[in-house]
Amino acid sequence: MTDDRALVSSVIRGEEHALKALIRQHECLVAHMVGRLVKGEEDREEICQDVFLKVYEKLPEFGFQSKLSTWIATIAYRLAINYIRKQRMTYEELPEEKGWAERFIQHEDPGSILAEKDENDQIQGFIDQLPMQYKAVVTLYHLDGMNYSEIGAIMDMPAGTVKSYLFRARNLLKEKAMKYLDIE
Amino acid sequence: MTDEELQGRIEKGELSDNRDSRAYSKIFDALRREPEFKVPINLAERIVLRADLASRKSSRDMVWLYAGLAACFAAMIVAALLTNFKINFGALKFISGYPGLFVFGILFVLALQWVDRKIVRKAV
Repeated sequence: MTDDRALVSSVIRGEEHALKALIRQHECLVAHMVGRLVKGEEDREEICQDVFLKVYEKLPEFGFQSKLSTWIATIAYRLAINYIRKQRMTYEELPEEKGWAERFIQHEDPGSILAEKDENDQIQGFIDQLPMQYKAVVTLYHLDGMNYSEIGAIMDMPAGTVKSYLFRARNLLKEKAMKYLDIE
Repeated sequence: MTDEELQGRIEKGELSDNRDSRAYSKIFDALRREPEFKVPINLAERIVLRADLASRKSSRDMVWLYAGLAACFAAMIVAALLTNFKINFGALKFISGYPGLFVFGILFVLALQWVDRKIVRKAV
């Protein structure tokens, strides 16, 4: 936290090397979030740049109410969601109706399963089909090592909901993997 | 064993010998795998450049804004002198009787703006 404070002060003072250091420290975090939620290489790059420009612009207002990484992830999450909404891509609130989970598990194009030779790639394809909120939760938890409260702060939801989303996402993926992959 | 307990055990690295456990193990491995998307190597340099351009544009805009305000103020003074303008009608007549109140009003609005920027917005 002390290092983060020193880094933030240097960036606000206009030190170029500090801004570069801040970007390099957090580029993986931003890439994970944007890479999982947004499709298209060019759009992903553009959004990553926008995230850090926003961070630079808003940094003087950041008062360390949370960790710097949590704050940056919040900006990345919001910009990615806004982009998806603007592009009118399939952004849906979590489907609550009965039978949705079953449809998620059942629905699969047999061709896409055969096309992916690597089992891991097949599972990545299943992850890609998850609703946005589930994708964001599993990414922040498994790739960025964040805890329930940090993820809750980023996605503006209680820690209990994060825990429930994480369980349901992993459970859906397991059911789908058992149905389509050769697991003995 | 429930799925929740099973997920907890896999997370701790305890693998049971059943199909569910093996499926979860594969899922957890895939979830920990780095996505293919990587940011460009020169992302930091690009952002520094864009931030610099944005900051220069913002400074130039501010110069034009202040120049415009100064020009308006100068034009107002010149117009007042040329037309021999006097504050002797309507609300202006009322205000001319209370210069202290007028100054207080301006200072109050400025103080509110300062509190909003420094305290309220930071807390949100």
